[in-house]
Amino acid sequence: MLRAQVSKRLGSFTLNADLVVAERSVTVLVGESGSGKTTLLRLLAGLLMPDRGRIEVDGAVWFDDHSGQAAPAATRTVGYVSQDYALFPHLTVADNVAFGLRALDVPRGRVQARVKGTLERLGVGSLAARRPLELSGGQQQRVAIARAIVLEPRLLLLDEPLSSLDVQTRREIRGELKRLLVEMPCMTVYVTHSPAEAMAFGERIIVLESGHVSQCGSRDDLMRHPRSSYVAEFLGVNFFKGSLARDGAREGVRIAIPQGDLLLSAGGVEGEMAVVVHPREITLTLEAPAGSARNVFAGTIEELVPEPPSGELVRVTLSTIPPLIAEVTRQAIEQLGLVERMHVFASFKAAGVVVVE
Amino acid sequence: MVLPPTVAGFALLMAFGRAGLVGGSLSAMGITLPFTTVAVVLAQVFMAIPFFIGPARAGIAGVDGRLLDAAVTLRASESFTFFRVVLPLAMPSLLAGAAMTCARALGEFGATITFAGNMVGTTQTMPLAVYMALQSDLDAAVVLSVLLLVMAFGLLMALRSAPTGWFWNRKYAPRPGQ
Repeated sequence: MLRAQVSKRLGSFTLNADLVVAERSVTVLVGESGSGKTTLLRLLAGLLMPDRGRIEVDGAVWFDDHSGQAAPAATRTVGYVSQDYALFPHLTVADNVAFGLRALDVPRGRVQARVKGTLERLGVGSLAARRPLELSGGQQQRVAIARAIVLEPRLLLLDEPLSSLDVQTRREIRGELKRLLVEMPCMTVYVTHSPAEAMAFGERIIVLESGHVSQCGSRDDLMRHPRSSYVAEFLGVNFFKGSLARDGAREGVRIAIPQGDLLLSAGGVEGEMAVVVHPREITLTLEAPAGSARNVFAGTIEELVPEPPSGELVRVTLSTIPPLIAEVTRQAIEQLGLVERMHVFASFKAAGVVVVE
Repeated sequence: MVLPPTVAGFALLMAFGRAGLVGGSLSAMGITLPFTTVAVVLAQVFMAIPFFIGPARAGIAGVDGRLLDAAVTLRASESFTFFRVVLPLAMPSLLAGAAMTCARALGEFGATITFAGNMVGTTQTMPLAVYMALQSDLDAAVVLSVLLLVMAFGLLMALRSAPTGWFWNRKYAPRPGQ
């Protein structure tokens, strides 16, 4: 169990974060560039020391400003894989992986056995004699992970481990990494930019926005109740902020958002509010719909993106006012003959608008 | 590097001479430095060391900080990291600096003759020998000069054609990180 509550000032940027990671679980840390994700990882690894706070792993205190405890990075049982992998260019793959074991004075025979076993586990056993520069990005990534996990860390920190790989390799490694992390008897904090990775890895997702945890919870929690437009956008949920404007009982409840009006079925709170429309609630038609949907917007299709991994659903980005994201099945796309730049109507029921704030 | 060699030699003589700051206590222990072979080495090191420090400092500062971070998270102590990461990665710069230092020391004249003198068999270096030969035997001076030139040039060439394995870190271009 990891419990951390840290704050750190770096120039004009301040990070204030609370974090709890359960045994044998993967926590995904998402946020825009500059939101403090890497800083938080560095604080956990001990590469930076917090100004204030406490970091506790399995009951052992790694940092506590009250008692003045601050375990140096080299004493923490952490595996840290940075974005650029930082493999030692002058050492072979085997020597890279053996580095930490040798630093800990593990007997030579055991070093070899553990290095061999770990490299094989990651499917790069045949590369032991190569140097990092002779490896592809995906192979370097596997070696970097092998180097971190060979020490059997309690806490594994992965900083955008897939971001510098090409799309094909990323898809391949994502599956492998997922299986590996499930097997690992440790806690993992996984930093990513990618919604797909957050969905694939995170039992719990923590959202950092300009140095603060703006939301944390399971994927479903976040989908149902995104607390900010960043979270909603990150997850691909339509998110609007506006104010309530009651127009008489007939009309129902209307909320005014900057780009127009949305109709709600039930009244929310007075004043400012945030609502979400799940992409699955949105229906696409070629003609203006005559059905029961009360929110109708016209616009063109900007982009059609198949949803990984199965590709059965397609995400449709619409240039309506306000802009909307719809999620429809592939069969529907084919039936309607939808292509990019086509003019369509997007509609959803008033009941599909959910007040979250 | 800007200190005139003769002045440097004189300064060394002042410091290590029998009445000098360091020389006083040394001679009390029965050690005399000026006009010995050790003095030659001392004078040359004193004159040439700046040629080593520049490249060495640049080489060590040039080691990617992310590699040092990686080493720390792999539980390595500072000395382990220095010998296993910093030193090998800075090695090309250290060798280049050493070669430059060597070449500079090879031709040292002023500080050597001032501090160590010019005694055949103990403190006479090649540049001193060239100067002496010049006064009596021109042919010997030519031969010695050519020899010196070849040695200095040889050092430079050795440095240039060092196995590329020493220079892998120049090819190491990490991806830009966050």
